[in-house]
Amino acid sequence: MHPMIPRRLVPALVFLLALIGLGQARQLELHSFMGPGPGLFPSIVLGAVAVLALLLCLLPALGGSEAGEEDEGPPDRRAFGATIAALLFLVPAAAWLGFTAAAIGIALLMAWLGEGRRPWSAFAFGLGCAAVGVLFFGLALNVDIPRSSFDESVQRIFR
Amino acid sequence: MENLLLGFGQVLTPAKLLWCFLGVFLGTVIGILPGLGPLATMAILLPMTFKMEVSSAIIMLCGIYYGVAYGGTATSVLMRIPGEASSVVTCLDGYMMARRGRAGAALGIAAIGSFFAGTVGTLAISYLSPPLARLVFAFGPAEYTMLMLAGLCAVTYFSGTSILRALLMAGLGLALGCIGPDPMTAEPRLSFGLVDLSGGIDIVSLAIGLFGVSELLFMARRRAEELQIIAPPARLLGFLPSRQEARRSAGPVARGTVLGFLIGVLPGGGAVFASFLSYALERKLSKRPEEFGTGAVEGVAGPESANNAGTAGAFVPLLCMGLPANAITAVLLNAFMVHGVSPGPAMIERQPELFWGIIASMYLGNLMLLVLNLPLIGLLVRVLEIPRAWLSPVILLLCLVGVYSSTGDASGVALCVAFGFLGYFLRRRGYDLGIVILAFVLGPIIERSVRQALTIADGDPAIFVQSPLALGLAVLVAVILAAGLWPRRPAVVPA
Repeated sequence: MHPMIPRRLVPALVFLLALIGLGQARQLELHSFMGPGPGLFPSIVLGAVAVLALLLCLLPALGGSEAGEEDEGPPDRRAFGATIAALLFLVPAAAWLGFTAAAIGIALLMAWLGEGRRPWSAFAFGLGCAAVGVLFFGLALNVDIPRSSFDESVQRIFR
Repeated sequence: MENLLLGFGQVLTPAKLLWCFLGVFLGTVIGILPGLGPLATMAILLPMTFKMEVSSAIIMLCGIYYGVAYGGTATSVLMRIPGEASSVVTCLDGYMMARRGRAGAALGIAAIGSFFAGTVGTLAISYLSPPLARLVFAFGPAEYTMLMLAGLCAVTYFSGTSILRALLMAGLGLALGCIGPDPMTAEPRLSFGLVDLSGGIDIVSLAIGLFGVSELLFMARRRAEELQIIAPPARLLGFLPSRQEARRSAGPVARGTVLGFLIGVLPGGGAVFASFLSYALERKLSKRPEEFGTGAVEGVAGPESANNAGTAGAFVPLLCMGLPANAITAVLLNAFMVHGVSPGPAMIERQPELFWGIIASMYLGNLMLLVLNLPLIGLLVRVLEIPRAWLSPVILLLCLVGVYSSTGDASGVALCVAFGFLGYFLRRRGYDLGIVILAFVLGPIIERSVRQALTIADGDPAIFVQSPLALGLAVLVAVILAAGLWPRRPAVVPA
C-alpha cells in the first residue's frame, strides 16, 4: 500500500460523511421568516469540514505526522477479540436481555474467553456485578438500567 | 466582610452543615458514577426539596453542583472514563499519571487544586460580582460567537497535532452537535430518518464512547505484561504529590483558577470550556510540552482548578442578575423560583442572609470536599491493582449504566459503542478526541449566538466585526489560524 493511503483514510471518510450530511442539510431552510433557518449553521459547518477534509486528503503532508497511540508490540488478539465481541453483545443485551444477562455475558466473554479465567469464576463475577447493578444502581439509587422481567422480579423481592 | 459574617452565621448550624455535607457528598458520588450527571440528579432531587427550608434546599443543590466537579476526576484518572463533561480533559494526563503509578498524586493535586480554585472562586463571587456582572452585559450574541470561536481556535492551535487535523476534529464535533432538534425551532435535523437520532446525540454517549470504550479496546490490545500499571504506595503520605509535582502544579492551579472563573462567568462557557482552555494554555506555557498526553502534572492541575473555578464563576450571573449561565444553573434558578425567591440585585438587598448564606456555604462546602476526598484517594487508587480480567468487565458495565441512565434506552448504548470504535480508530491515527467533545458542547451555543446575531442584524454578517470587542476577537481568531497554518521551521537538533 502507498504510504500516503492510511493518512488519507480519516480525511476521506470525514469528507464522505460531510457530503452525506450536506445532502441532508440542503433539505433544510437556510432562511425562514424568523431569520436564519435551521439549515444555515449545519451547511456552513459541513461545508467547512468537507473543504478541510478534501484539503487533507489531497495534501496529506499538511496534516503533519500521524503518530498514533500505542502502536508498539504485537497485540493480545484473544483479549482484543473478546472485548470487541463484548461490545457487540452489549447493544442487543441492553435492548432486550436486561442487566443481569448483560453482566454475565460480558464477564464470560471478557474474563473467560478473553483472559482465560475459569468459566465458573467468570460466571460468579458476572452474577456479582449484576447484583450490584440491579440492586445498588437500579433499586437503591433508582438509576435507569436495562431491565428484563427477571431483573424486575429480583428488584421486587428486595423492594 | 460583615455580609460574609452574616452568611456564616446563617450556615453554621447543625442542620445547614448537614445539608451542605449531604450535597457535596452526593455530588462527589454522582461525579464518580459515569453518566449520572449533576443536571439529572438535581432535577430528580428538586421535588424532594419542596418541603425543605429555602436556604437548606439551595445549599444542598449548590453542594451537588460543585461536588460533581471533583467527583468526576476519580474515574477520569483511574479508568479514563469521564465522570462528567468537565472531566474529559483530565482523562488525557490524569490517566497516564495513573499508569505511571502516580494516580494518588493526580487525585491529590486535583483535590487540592479544586479546593483552592473553589475557595478563590467563592472569594471572587463575594467581592467581584458587581463588576463581573457588568462584563457579561458587554457580550452580545456577535461578541459571544467570536469569543467561542476564538476559544475553539486557541484549543486547536495549542493541541499537540497539526492545526488542520485539530480543526477537522473540531468540525466533526460541531457537525455531531448539529444532529437532532434545531436549538431555535426544535425541527429535527440531520437524523437521516433514524428516530433514535432525532433527539440528538447525548454528550454522555459521545464522551464515554470516545474515551472509556476506546480505552477498553486499547487495554485489551496490550499484552498483560505491557499494561505497566505500577502498584500504589502503601502509606497515605505516598499518595500525596511529591515536592516537584507540587512545585510544577502551583502555576497551573493559579492560572486555571483565574481563567476558569472568568470563563465560568460568561453564559454557556462554564466548566467544560474552561478546562479545555486551561489545558491548551498550560501546554503552550510548559517548558516540557512533549510531556502533555503522557502524564504531565500540569495537564491535571490546570484543568481541574479551571473546572472548579468555572463552576464557581457560573454562580455570578445567577446570583447577581438571575441569569442562568448553563443548564445546571437553570435548574438552580428553577429551585429558587419554586421557593419563591428571585435571585438578582433584589435578593442581595432584600434577603442578604440568603445570598451571603449561600456564599458562606460554598466556603464550607469546598473545605468539606477536601476533607472528604483526600482520605478517599488511598482507597480509590486500589482500583488500579485489580487485574484486567475483572476490571474491564466492570468498566464496560459502568459505561452501560452511565449511558443507559442518561439516554433511557439502548440507542444511546449503540451510539456509545459506535463512538468507541471511532475513538479507537482516530486515536490510533493520532487525532485529538478532546477537541471533538469541546466542539460538540460549544456547537449549539455558537449556533444560537450566530442566529441571534444575524436576526438582530437582519442577516448582515458584518455584525460579527462591528463592535470593537467583536472585531478584536475576530482579529484574534485570524491571528491564531494564521499562526497555526504558518509553516514552522524544524527545530535544530544539536550535534
